[in-house]
Amino acid sequence: MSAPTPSARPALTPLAAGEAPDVTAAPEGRQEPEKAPKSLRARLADLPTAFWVGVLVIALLLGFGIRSDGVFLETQSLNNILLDAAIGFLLAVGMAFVLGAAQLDISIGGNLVLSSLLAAHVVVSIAGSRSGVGASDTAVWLGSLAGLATAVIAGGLLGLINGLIVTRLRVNSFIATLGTGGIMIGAVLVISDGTNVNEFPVGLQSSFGAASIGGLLPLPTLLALAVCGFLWFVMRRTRFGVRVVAIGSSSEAATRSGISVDGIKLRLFILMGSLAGLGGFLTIARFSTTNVGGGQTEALAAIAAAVIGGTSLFGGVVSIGGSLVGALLPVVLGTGLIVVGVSTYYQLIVVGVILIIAVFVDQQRRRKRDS
Amino acid sequence: MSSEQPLIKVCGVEKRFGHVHALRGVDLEIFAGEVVAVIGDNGAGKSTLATVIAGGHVPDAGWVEIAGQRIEKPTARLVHELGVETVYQSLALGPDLSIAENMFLGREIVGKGFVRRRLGVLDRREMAKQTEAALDRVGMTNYTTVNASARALSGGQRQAIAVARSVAWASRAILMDEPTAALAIRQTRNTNEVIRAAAAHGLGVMVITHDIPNMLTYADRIVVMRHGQVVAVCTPAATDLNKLVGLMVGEEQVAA
Repeated sequence: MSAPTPSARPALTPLAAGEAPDVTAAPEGRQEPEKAPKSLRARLADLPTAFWVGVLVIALLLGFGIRSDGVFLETQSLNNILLDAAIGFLLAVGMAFVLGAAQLDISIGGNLVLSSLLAAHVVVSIAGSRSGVGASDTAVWLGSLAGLATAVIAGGLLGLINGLIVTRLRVNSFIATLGTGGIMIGAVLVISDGTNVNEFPVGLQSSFGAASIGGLLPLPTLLALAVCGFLWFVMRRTRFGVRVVAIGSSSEAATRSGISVDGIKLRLFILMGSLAGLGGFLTIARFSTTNVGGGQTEALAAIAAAVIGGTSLFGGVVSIGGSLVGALLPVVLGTGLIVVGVSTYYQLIVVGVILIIAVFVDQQRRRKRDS
Repeated sequence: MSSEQPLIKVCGVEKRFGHVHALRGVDLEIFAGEVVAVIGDNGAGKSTLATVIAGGHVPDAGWVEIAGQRIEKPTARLVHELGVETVYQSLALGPDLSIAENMFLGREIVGKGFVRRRLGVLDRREMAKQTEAALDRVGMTNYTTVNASARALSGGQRQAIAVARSVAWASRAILMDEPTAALAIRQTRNTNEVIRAAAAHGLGVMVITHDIPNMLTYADRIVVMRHGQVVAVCTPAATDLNKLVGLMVGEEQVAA
């Protein structure tokens, strides 16, 4: 390989082509080209999990649409679904990265709420008012941007703490983040004394948090999807993505290759934390209030979304698109059940069942493929 | 073998794992262009020795020199940078990574330009091209594409990839831990040819093996380890299978 090595001598190309005999004549090795053209069934079975979950989501959309005489498919309704899904998108894609390296982050719910609380104080101190009006446009802009920066940085720092516990103290990431998640939720209650911050300027919500382009594409969702698109690029096209998957695929191979496994893990937890922080900012922007009692369900929802979409819980396999579809599923179900007049409590049950089925089917297919 | 400076010099290396004293003062030299076989019973310390040289373990005492440079803080990356590659018994491949990704793991080629460089955007085309060339060099042709995941390959193919990776990147020496243990006769012969060819190009090769008859043919020197120590160093001409086995299990006194 002609890639430069910093060694004193130039990299050798020790063996000229054809110099070594052909090992490959060994009978077990030869891979015959595919025999017959694949049957339709085999081809369908080759499609990724994300595809089937996508089909399911579309079927649900249509089903709810028909049951509700089209109400469910009106722009207002679709706009709400997309808006509701924004934070789920961010967290599911972040979790797909973390899972890719066979790590877990259970603290993202606590992180989201704590980051949103800190950001809320920043926004309110710059542009807050009891009536929601009064602050100048400039102050609202400044306050909002400062709040965004605060949320993302605070989230990233909380993620850094997770990463340091995992890489320096060598505590398993599940336990480490279970602990820090509890600490963060507790810290929120201590700091806020259980009282929500809600003196936000109206502009944050009306011009961003609940605003849409054409009444269909919510701004927070567009922001979330832009971030997810960038992360897709990072996962598929960059060194970082390959190394994340390498760590999850074989921790030994990653270590032996000389890559900094701890450095990558640290960056993963910072990334996940920043995304949770961004999610926190989207929460306050949309609802004009913090939710100091929240943070309990986000982690498991994100894990479920990523796994439903085909990301492996054990590392090495990541699907960004699948995570998006997986995050959309509970939102579509939840909204749809309301529209057709069924209790949303069933949403949890249905998502749980789909999670188990998706993982079961995925495992079966992998087993088949590997044998 | 030459009288010049050894490529790799192991000086009084000790390694303990809890109560296990895996290496007890090992000295070893590997010169350019020679194949050194390291043999010994299970638990003799062979793999530990290879891992120490590869930068995977920090010795408790003693040190390793590569091309005359004493390695103060051993890391896999530093040893790679000094041109020493290792084929581990486990092969150390990521099953979910493609052949090309495995070949370049930790040394990925990134695109040109400031943004691509900063983001670490892979030049997959170049990586694929160089991977194909590297596989060609070790005679591996029976794969469909270098974008196939390692999981889909046979044991022999995976082994060939690990060997190809070491040959492609090594500029000084290759360490091989049981490179032929899982291989059929024909593949074993090929691997031996690759090893000889690498040595013929001036690399130093250290081969850990249980296949003593093979090494009587292919090695320049044979190092026998027992209980974490080097108990004999001999040339194939000056020894035979029985003597070596005797040295390995401790029935014969050191006669080197």
